[in-house]
Order: sequence, then C-alpha cells, then structure tokens
Amino acid sequence: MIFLYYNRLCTYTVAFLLLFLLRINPVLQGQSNLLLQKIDLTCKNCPPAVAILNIYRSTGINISFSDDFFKNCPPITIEAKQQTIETVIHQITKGCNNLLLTPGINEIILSLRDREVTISGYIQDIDNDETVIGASVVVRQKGTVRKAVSNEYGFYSLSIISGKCNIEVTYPGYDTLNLYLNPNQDLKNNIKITPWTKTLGGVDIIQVNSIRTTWSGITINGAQIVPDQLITSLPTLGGQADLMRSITQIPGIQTGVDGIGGIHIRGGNTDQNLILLDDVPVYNPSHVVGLLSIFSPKITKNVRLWKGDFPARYGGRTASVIDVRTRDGSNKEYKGGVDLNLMSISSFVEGPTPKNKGSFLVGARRSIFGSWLQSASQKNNALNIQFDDLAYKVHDYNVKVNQRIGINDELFFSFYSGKDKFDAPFDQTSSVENQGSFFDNYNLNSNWGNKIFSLRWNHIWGSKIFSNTTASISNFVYRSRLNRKTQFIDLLNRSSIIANYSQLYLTDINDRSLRTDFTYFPHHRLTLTFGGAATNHQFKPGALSFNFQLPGQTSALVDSLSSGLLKNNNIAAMEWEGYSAAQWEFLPRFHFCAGMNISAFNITNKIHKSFSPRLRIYHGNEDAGFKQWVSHNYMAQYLHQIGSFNIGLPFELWVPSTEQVLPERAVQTAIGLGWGNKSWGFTLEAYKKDMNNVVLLRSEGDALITAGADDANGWENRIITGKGQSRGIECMLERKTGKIRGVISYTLSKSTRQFDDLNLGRPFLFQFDRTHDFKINVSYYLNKYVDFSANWVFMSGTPITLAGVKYNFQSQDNPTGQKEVLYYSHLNGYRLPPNHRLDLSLNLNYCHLIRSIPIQHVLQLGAYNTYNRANPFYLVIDINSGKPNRAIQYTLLPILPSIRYAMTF
Amino acid sequence: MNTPFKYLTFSNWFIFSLFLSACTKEVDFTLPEEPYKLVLSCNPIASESLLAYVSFSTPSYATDTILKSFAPTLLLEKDGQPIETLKPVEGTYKYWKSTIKLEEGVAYSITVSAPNFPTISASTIIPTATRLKPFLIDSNTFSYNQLNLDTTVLRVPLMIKPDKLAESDSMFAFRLKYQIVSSNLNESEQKATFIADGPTFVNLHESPDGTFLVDKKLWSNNPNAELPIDVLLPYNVSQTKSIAILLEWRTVSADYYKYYLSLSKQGNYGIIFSTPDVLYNNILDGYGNFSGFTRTLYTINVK
Repeated sequence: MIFLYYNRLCTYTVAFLLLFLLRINPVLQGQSNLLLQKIDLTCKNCPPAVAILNIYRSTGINISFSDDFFKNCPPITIEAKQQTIETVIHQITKGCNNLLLTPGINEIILSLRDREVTISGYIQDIDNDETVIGASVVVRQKGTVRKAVSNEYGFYSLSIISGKCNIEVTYPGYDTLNLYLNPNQDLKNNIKITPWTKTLGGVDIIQVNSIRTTWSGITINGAQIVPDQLITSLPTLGGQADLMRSITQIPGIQTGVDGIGGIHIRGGNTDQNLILLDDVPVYNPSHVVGLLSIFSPKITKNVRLWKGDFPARYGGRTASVIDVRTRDGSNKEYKGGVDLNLMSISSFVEGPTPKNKGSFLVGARRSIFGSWLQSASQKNNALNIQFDDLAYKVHDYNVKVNQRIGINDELFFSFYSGKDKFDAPFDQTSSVENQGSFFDNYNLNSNWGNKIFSLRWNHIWGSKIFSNTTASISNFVYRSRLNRKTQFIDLLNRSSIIANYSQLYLTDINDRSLRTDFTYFPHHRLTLTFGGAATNHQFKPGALSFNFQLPGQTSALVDSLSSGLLKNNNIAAMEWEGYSAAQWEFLPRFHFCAGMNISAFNITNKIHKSFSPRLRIYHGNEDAGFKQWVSHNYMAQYLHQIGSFNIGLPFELWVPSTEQVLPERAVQTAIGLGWGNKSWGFTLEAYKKDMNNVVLLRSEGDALITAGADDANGWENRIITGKGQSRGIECMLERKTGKIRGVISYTLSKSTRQFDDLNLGRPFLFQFDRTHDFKINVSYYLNKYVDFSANWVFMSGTPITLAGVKYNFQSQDNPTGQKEVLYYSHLNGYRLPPNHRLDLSLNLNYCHLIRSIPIQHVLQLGAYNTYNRANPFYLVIDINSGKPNRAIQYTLLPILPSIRYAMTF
Repeated sequence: MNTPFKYLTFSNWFIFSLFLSACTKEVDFTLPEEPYKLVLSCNPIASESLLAYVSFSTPSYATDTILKSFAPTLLLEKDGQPIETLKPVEGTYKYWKSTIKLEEGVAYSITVSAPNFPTISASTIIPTATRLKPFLIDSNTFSYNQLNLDTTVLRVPLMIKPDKLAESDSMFAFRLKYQIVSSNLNESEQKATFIADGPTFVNLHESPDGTFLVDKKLWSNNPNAELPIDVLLPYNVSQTKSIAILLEWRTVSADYYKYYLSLSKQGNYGIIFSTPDVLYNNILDGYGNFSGFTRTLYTINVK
C-alpha cells in the first residue's frame, strides 16, 4: 500500500494523478526502468532537496516530493558515476525519514513510508490544570482505532501512525474533546479537557450533579473509579460527605451497623484493605471508630478501588486496594471554600505558586459534634457512668505543593495529619451496706492519629516511559492515659484513699519508605509497568505502665514516671517489593493483564517471601457496550491488625509477621460481565476467595492485647491462625442520565472462618458476613437549582454468638460457690435482625458573582435513618427477664437531621 | 486478674459505650427451645474420693430454677468396669461421693441416670503427677510498692518450672494463696494475686474459680521454659509476723485443660462486645465436665 502525504496543496499535485494512473493500470510498461537508469551526480554539502533537483536537471525525469521530507536531514556530499537513479536517491535520503520510491510515467514519486510516532503528555482539566486520572485517549486513523488511558498521574502515551489523525479524549463529567494533529515525529502534547458546566444565577459553574461517573464502569485492569463528585451528593450522616461511606454503595463492600467497624471487602478483615493516600499506606483511615473517614471530599481528586483482583503494582494486603489521590490545586487562579455541617467545619484554599510553575492546596477540618455527643452521653449508658465534661475532637490537615522543574519533571510534597482526641473525666459511686461508700474519680485521655509526609518526583523519560518515585514517612500512634483515685468514706464520714494511680498505654508504628514505579508504553497494544519499594517498619506493639501516686506527688509527676516505665519493645522489619506487569491487547478488544508481585519481609532472623501472580483477561466491545472479564490473583500480607473485636479500632495493634506468625495469603478467582450504554449500566460478578493464615487475637474477654500484663511482649502466643473463605455474587444496575438517576446494587455472599482453637475447630460465620446486602441510591434532578437524593440500605443481620442454655458451674475447690455458665454451642451461630434505613437529602445550588468572582453556594438538608429504624448493633439475652425469647438490643443511631452549607469561590 | 491493670480496659472500649447511650430496648428474639439435660461437674483427683455435683440445665432466660424432683444414680467405672455407685452427701441434695480413693494414671468413667432425663456419661484419665523444681527464695529480690500511707505491697519473684516432664504434652494448672500471721490477725489464708510480664501472661488462662491454666504450648515447645511471676502480698512492717505463699500445682487431663480453657474465654469483664468461644463439653447427652487431675501443694515461706 502506498500512502502519499502532502503539506502544501500546491506542491507536486501531479504525483497523486500519476499514482492514480498506476493503480488503475498496473501493467504500464517501462516505469521501473526509470529507477534503473544510470546517471552521474556530484554534489558537495548540498541539501538533499537540491541534490534531487539536480537529478531532475540532469535527466529531465520529474521527481515528486515534499520539502517536509527533508526538514531535519543533514546536507550530503555525493559523487556518483554511472549509478542507477534508485541507488543515488537512496544515498541522498540516507539520513532522512524512511522514504518510499515509486516509479511512474516519466516520473518518480517520493513518499513517506508508514511509521510509528508517539504522542504523550498529561490529560488536564482546562480550568486548573489538575491532571485527570483514567481519561480515555482514542486515535482513529486510516481505519484503525488505538486507545490509551491516562495513568494514576494523568500521563498518557500512545503510539500512532505518523501523519494526520483525530484524537478523541473522553472522561465522565467532561466534554469530549476532538483534536486534529499531524505528527511526523514524537510529540509531547498536554491535552486539556473542559468540565461540563451549567449556568446558575448567570454564572457558568461546573455541573457537579451531572458528573455521574459510572459506578458500573469497571476498567480493563479491574479498577472501579469512585466519583468524588457523587460522594458529595449522597445523603450522609450529619451532612458530612464521606468517601468510605460512599464506597459501601458498591456491591461486595460491607460494613458494620451505621458504618461502625470499618469496611469489609469480600469477607476480608479491615486490615486486609490497602488504603493509600497519594501512594502512602494509611493505617487508620477513619475517625470516631468508623463514623467518619479521614479523607476530606474537597481535597480528594480520584478514588479507585480494586476488590481483590488488583494489579501487580499493589501488594501487602489480601482483600482490596483503595487508592486515594488528592488534588494538586489550581495553578491558574486562587480558589477556596468552606464547608459547614453538623459533624464538622472544613475549609480549603488553593492557587498557583510563584512564577506559575506549580500549585498548592491547603485544607483543614475540625469536628463540631462534641457538644451533641456530650449531650447524648449525659443519659444512662451501658456503664451507668455519669460523664460531665466529655470532649471529643477530630481534626485533619492536608498540605500539598507541586512544582514543575522543566518539561519532564515535577515534584510534589504532601503532608497529612489527622487526630482523634478524647477526654472523659467521670465519677462512679458505689455503696457497701452498713459500711460506707466508694467514690471513684477517673480521668481518661486518649488520642490517636496518622501523620504522613511524602515527596514525589514525576519524570518523563522520552515519550514512552513515565516514572514516579515516592519517599514517604508514615506514622500512627495511639496513646491512652487513665488516672484513677478511689476514696472510701465510712458511715462516720471518715475518708481514706484506697487507690490513687495513673496508667499509660502506648502503641505506635513508623514507616519509612522509598518506592519507584515505571510505566512503559512500547506499543499501542502493550503497556508495561514495573517498579519496586523498600519499607522500613518500626513497631511498638503496645505497652502499659502504671504508677501509684504517693503523698506529695502530683499527677503530672506520676504521668512522667509512668512514661519512663513503658516497656515498649521495638520491633524492626524491612519489607522489599518488586513487581512487573503487562497489559496487552493480544487480539482486538481482548486484553491480557498479567503480572507478578514479589516481596520479602525481613524480621529478626526470619525472611518471609511471597510470589503473587496476578492474571486478568478482559474483553470489551465498546460498540455493543458489552464487556466480560475473568481474573485469578494471589495476594500476601505481612502486617496484621489484631484485637478482640477485629473491627479496626484504633487501639487494636498493628503487628508484623514473625517466625511464629506467618504471612496471610489469599487467592481469588472472579468472573464478571457488564453491559452499558449512555443511559444504563449493568455489571454482574461472581467471586471465590480462599484465605490462609488469617490471624485473630485469642480472646479471653479482654480487648487489650496485654491482657493485664505490663507490656505486649509475647503477643505472638496470643495469636491464632486459621482459614477463611468467601463466595459471592455481586450485581449493580445504574441509570446514568435523565432526571431520575441512581444505582441499585445487590450482593449475595457467604464468608466463613475456621480456626483449630475456636468453635471446637468447626467453621463459623465471619463476624461481618451478610447473606444479603441491598442498596438503592436514587437522585431526582428537579432543575438546575434543586435535586433530591434518597438512599435505602438493607443488610442481613450481624452474626452473633448466643446461648440458649445455662447451667451452674461447680468448682471442686469451692463447694459452696457456684457460677452460672452460659452454654455457647456455636460461634456466630445466630443472626441479629436485619439492618435497614432510609436517608434523604435535598440539595440546593446557587451561584452569583462578586466583583466578577463566581461564588457558589450549596445547601443540603437531610435526614439519616429517616424512619428511625432501631437497627440492632448488639444483642444480649436478658437472662434476668424470666420471660422466654426476650433480649436487650443495643442500637446506635436513631433518626438524625442533617444540614450542610458549602461555599466555594 | 485482680490487678489494677484491668481498669485500663475502660479506655479501650469506652468510646463504644458512648454510642450506646440510651439506645437500648427490649426486643423479642427467638432462640431454639432446648430440652432440660443433666449437668455433671466432677473432677476425679488422685488419692482423693470422687465428689460429683449433679444438676440440670435451664433455658438461658430462666431466673429461678424450678427444681425438678430427680434422684440420679451415679455409677463410677474404672478401666471400663463398674467399681462403685456413688452415695449422696449428707445435708446436700446435689453432691454424690465415692468411698474409694482414686489413683493416678488410671482412666475412669461415670454414668448418671435420672428419671425424665436422658442418661449421661463421660470418661477421663487422672494423669501422673509432675513435680516442680524447688523454689529458691532470695529476700534481696523482694520489692515494695507503697499503695497508700497504710498499705505496702510486697512483690516476691517466683520461678515456676516442672522438674521432669512425664510427657511432652503434659498440661498444668495452679492456684495461688497466701497465709499471713499478723499482730492483729492470728492467721488468715487468702487468694493471692500476682503480676507478670507479657510473655508470661500470654501463657496463663484464668478460669472463673481462680485457677490459672498454663498454656500447653509453653512446655511442649520448650521443655526448659520457665514461668516467672511476682506474687503480690499485703505487708505491714509493724504488724506482719509471717507470710507464706501456698501454691497448689495441678497436672491436668486434656478434658480439664479444654474445659477450663473454654471457660476462660467466657468471661467478658463487662465488655459486652467480647465474643465468647463455645464451651467445651465432654458429657455425652448432657452438659458439664468430667476431668481428672492430680495436685501437689507447695508452701513457700517468705517471712
């Protein structure tokens, strides 16, 4: 096949006609003889085009060509005697583009051969140059379609045929962009796309509510992109938009009642989720034991979720990856915003750095729910304790600065700090008949939180290789202090101090990590990723100290003495990870994603190694809207969070795999299909997952790993390991356009655990097993100012261990004393009643200009648990009721109104 | 464990309790109807008569036990041969006792039958005793913690280690008491408390009657392992005349170990969310426990 390219219409048009003639009469005689004609040619340091003109002058044979062919060609020197024209032209064009010679009738046509060039760059938002992750770049050219997707840093690279092409860039919530380019060589081209806008109050604003990234849109490599815009429009607790709560809309993701207990993905524990904040693992992703996540919606740019079939790039966890990317900040103008709701107040400001070479983003959030929490705690609670000055505070601070250094380099600095702080002084009184009364005065202070620093360097190596290198420090600390003073006052009002002491409990984990990731685009059908990481972990798995306050000592002194007594034994571990993966379109529409994650974990004298292959085959017919996939993945995990409850509470300790505690391993197979068009989307996926070496703290009624000891040393002996299994079918139906939009999701699943040391070795239901999990989220867009949202959730009840029988335990050593023993026959053998609730919200949007600055207002009114369903959080058989089938049910959140006001400028 | 450390539990689950504020209510919850069954609590002890306690189970919601009239028959067997029918203990209506003394290293079975109840049966073995290494007490290692102006706690380090393990999978338990003689109190014997470091505590499981089981992995993994504890004794310089630690050392059967280990996982120390494990039961067609052990008493004079 012959292709002719012309840059100037007026140049050598005759060549086309000759080629036409050649095609319609291919047996024209004598054409090839032109190339064999022998000539003499001498030329010193002359441009190739001049040398070719000299051939024309000396032979009279027309030679058609474009000046562009020789744009970058060096001058040549030639001295040819009685050589064929073909040989001479080859010598002239030796240092030029790869040219094709075609003989015609008394004419020789020079044309460019087809060749591959690479277009690459970032996909960016036109308003603020924010990079767009997961945008689709499609090039249609000469009957072929080539496609690339921007990576987690917004970078794309695509090999195409040189010459004219049409580039189509799409991303949900943005206008489709069509670009016409004519690259004859590698081209770096940052593409800017425009978000959908609507006019409110005469001002064009980003059309937030219309940006409905498809819930059903699963990418080739298995990622579910969670739209942050949708996060902000869901009805929420107290009006606080929350990432983790929104994620639970996705089938296969389960949580405890009212979000307490973290998220559990396909039968996994909370610690089996790898939660990344700009590439850095986060150990405690929630505040208030799960009611709030640490991710402020105004800071978040993109969230991707993998439910087990994650790419080889990710390792160290066995259940899922939640990859959260924060915004870089606008590099065009200064912007800011305030968000106020019943849970918190937050604000952010962003803008360009000096010389417009980068941008910054600063965000802060503080809780304001302490007062209503204090009010609630005044009433009788499970402890019958009176709380007077209860205080609970939460804060998050985010800082991000990025700076471009040249065309190919960019640096990012990120900082996050989040903390829960809880102070509870309280008194407890008890009396002894005919003797007197005990007065206990407690002062409890607890605080915990994450601190993360990271420095990232993005570098573009040519047009086909992109790298990201991240150096990070991550720290999580939990600290709790309790002062107790007990007085006994007898009937004659004489007082004596029974106890006066202070206790301190401390646990923390420190990570220092360096990782680098490369993305290589060698071919338009092939993308390679590879990289490695090294992480130094320092664990302090919990230590407790106490000190008695002696006469004359202050409580502060007792505190400091307690700190000095802490017996934290540091545990150091080194984790190494390397990976390589390929995404290869081996047949049109068939993608083969395969990779290997190799890791090693070095602790004291033991090295654990893991080889985790990942495989995914994806077939997608975009025209018909169908897609199918199958995946098979192995995962390994070296870090474990252990506690009696195993629901990710902050005081549950992170501990490493050791010689005795082996790494957890999981293997998952999933098969799925999807269908979608512009209006509807549907996915159905079935999975099977088996887990080995699942760890659990051997419970003896104590939530604390130290179990009364003054340190947590020996924790390994309290850990038991077992197996886990999960099977399920997940489906989702989505309406994406129109006035009424929404998502219906349903999961049918069963998750079990089996430990030799528990339940007499028999399998039992996983603590967060939900047979049925049904969710509906519907939004009605009345007009551009007003929309309504409703969210209904139905889940099977939580498995619970109950006893139907009791008897008296009689000790051999104390014949007169008996103890009532409840006979538990099966662990998690019963289920609580189902959970369901309805959340509603009304969203009002308005925008106006102040000094040509658009000010956007959002007012959200809503109700959580609108019909005030008393969802059972826990249940205790009332053994004192004397009535059959009576139980005491504990419930968390009743109907709660919510109000949120947000303003951005 | 009766140490002040336990109070720290508050800080850990305290937050949970907040969310329970005033959100409790009585609800209907149907549990399967369980038939009444006989319950046997009995520990065959070497060199002692057998004392058996027999009762019957009730639904978990029952507040008072309506005593069904039952006159059980308890038949003791040795190596599969009946040896004695137990006699009721005078003055009680739930205890039955043997006249013969039991032997260590022997398997015993018991059958309990009563009208209107399914007959229950169980078997166990009385293991051969394993003695402890002699205790070395050095007063220089004692330490004192002043609790308040009047009371001081004397900490006495004690190293527990079996002398010769009869079998690698031997299982043990112990009870700790102290005997004090003071100027204002002639003699008193009370339960002693102790503290230990983490590696020691993880190998101890406390049962409701105050017995501590030693984790079977401790000496099966390492026969030379030691169990260091600090016994806490109340001490008054001017009044205390003498103190002795009384250590009852038990070599226990597998049935004893499993039952008391599962019992130790029942107590929740007030933490309502703590999930108990299932209760071990070696009584066929009934409930309770029939498990043998041997015991040796050690008296360690501190002052």
